[in-house]
Amino acid sequence: MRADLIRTLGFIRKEFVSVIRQPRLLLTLVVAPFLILLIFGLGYRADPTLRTLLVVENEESQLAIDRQQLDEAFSGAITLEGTSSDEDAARLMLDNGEVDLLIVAPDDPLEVIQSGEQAVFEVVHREIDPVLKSNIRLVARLSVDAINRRVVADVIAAAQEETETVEDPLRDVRETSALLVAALESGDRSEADRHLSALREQLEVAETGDPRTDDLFASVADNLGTTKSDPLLSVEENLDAAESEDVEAATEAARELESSIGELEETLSAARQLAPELLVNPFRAEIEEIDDAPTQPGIFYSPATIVVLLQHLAVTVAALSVVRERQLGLTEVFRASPLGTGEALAGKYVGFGFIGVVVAAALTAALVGFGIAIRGSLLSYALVIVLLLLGSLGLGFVLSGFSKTDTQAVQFAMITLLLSIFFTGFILPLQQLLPAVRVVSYLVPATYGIQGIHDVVFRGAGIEPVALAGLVLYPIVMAIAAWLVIRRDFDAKLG
Amino acid sequence: MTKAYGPDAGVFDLDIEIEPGTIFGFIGPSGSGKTTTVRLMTGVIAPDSGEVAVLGQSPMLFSKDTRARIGYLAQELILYPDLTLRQNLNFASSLYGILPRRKRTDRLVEFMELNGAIDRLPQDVSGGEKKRAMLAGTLIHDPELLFLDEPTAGIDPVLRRKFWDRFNELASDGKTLVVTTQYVGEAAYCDYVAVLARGRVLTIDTPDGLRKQAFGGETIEVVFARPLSIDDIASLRAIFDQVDWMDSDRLRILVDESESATASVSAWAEERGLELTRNENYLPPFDDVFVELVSELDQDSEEAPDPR
Repeated sequence: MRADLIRTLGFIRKEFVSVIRQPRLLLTLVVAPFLILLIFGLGYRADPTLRTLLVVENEESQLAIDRQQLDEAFSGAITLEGTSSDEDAARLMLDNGEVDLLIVAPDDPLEVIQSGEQAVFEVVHREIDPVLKSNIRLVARLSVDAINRRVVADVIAAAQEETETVEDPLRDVRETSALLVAALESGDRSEADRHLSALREQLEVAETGDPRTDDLFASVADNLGTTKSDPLLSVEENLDAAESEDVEAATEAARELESSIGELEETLSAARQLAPELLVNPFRAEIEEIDDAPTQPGIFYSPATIVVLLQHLAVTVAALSVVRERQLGLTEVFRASPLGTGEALAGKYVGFGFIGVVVAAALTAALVGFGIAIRGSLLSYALVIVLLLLGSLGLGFVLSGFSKTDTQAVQFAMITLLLSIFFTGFILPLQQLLPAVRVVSYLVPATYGIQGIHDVVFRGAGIEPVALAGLVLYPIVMAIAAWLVIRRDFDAKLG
Repeated sequence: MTKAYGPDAGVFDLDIEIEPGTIFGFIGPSGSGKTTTVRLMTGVIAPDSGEVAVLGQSPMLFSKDTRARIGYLAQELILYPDLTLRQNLNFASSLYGILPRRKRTDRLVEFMELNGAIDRLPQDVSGGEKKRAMLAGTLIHDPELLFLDEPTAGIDPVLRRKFWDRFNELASDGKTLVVTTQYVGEAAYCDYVAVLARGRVLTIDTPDGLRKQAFGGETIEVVFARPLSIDDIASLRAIFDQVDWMDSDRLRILVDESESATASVSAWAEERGLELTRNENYLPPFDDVFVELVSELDQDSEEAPDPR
């Protein structure tokens, strides 16, 4: 066997045995963070439930909202602890941490609204977490929207009831219109005049039955898209025309009159049949998820967690391995021996890479065991893992060049872990970072690994080209940098 | 060659030639430049100036083949803590492109008396066993030239003796050994010795030559059956220039050549009716030799004109 191959194999065997002999290292690098993240994933709720107290000082308030309305409005974002009529006592409960949120209803909202202003629901909290504060703002806006819609729906329901009062007069008008048409068609002018006179009286009753009926007709007609802006005006015009001496024109006008009334009747009937809730919520959104990714945070974060853990393992063992050899004094043994930088690096890459693959297989088995399916091909998944490990090992070797002690090497590994949490899309999407800041993201291999593993596991597709390019180029760049760094340990002229 | 870490740290103006098949010792106190010299010769560090040629090549330009002909034992205890001594040996073997062979390993284990420790982790063996394991690692590829940097430091005298026995066996096999030590007495085991102090070579010679250099000749020790009289002393001083009285019945005489001097002493005693209980060549300890040589250097330094 070639001597250089034997040297590389020697390193592979040595690195493998060294790591296997340190079960605590594997435990602290992989198992412990995995358990921590598992507990976090199982226990984390994306939408926190806020303990809320409703404060209604004026129980006679015309817009006092009931518990059911509030529950519907917040849809699980809050748990209503109760109501109180004493705002001071409620604020004391908030100060004592007994509740998270107070919703103070306006005293006399109707009076405020009638004066041309909006009535205010005051939402009080002591939260300092910006995410929770943002949640509260959202909850407050959604809840007031819901209350507003509820009020409008109540108004519409009341209006619908009122349309029933013109139902009978309109039927009378339509029936009389039919008699008018018949009289005109038979040439009985006196009978026609009698019906015309009756029609005018009946219309007056229908029009003046309620002061709001006219407006109601107009608004309903508008909303239902009738061709005539004012059906009663149309009726009046046709009525005037029906009085014409020209029998043919009068008959035509009477027919139009009958048709208009029928149309109005249908319009009102349709308006009555529409649910008020539909009228205040005429549109709803339907979301089509092309990739149908899981909604549970625990599941979503799991593959990315594997990426971050593998990166941390690889960076740490790679950096520590080189620094420890330097601390032990092996650098001078290597310099005096025929060992080359490439042979040592190749041995370390393969040795640690093999351990990384074994750990990745175990973590993936756990992933599948938790019921998370890998939708893409296993080959793509393996490719992401291997490239991630190579890139991370390269980063570890490079970091070893900046570490004089193993403590410094571990600190560098921890800093890389910290960067992975905030800058790689692990918890916060990359799109939320300014483009200039994303440069930091592209220095960390987990950025490409997370994107790649999301593509494979959740989208079931191949690796997106940019992520694939990153996954391939990063290990190459790092391997060159690592070779330059490690070479200093092997060459007296550089060291 | 010169390699300076500071005005008095490093090695300065080193000029040495080492004959193949010999044991060449570098002797000197801590900080005298022994390790730096070995590192320069193995290519572990580069010289500031001058040239080094080992096996016909500059250590900075050693080919892999040349490096494979060299064995280097570093001064520190360097073993991977997570590998057993055998695994450390196997790794050392692979560094030289040799597949670990049980037979060769076992032979070295036997040679280094490591049988009971070879499958234990370094933390579970003694310092001497670690050192022997390292030496076994240095020999694993059967090098023709060995650089051993303080191989006996920190180990007990019995083991030190065994180490030197091994070195002599290796030398008799035709290998060249460059050994550093701060145990001055170990100079006796070397074929040639370079005495170093403050980064400079005081002298290079055989062990006997060093003694002569240090004291200006050989020494014989004479012990009489009874104390000498003043007349006896005056008579002896008339024959030998430098007589040191150790006791009333014991003296040491500096001579050019010990064999003829002991004969002269015997004749003189017989003539004066004195009984000798000892009359033989005396080998002063190398500690004394070293102290003498270093004090000579100090004297020379004081006498030398200040270059400033």
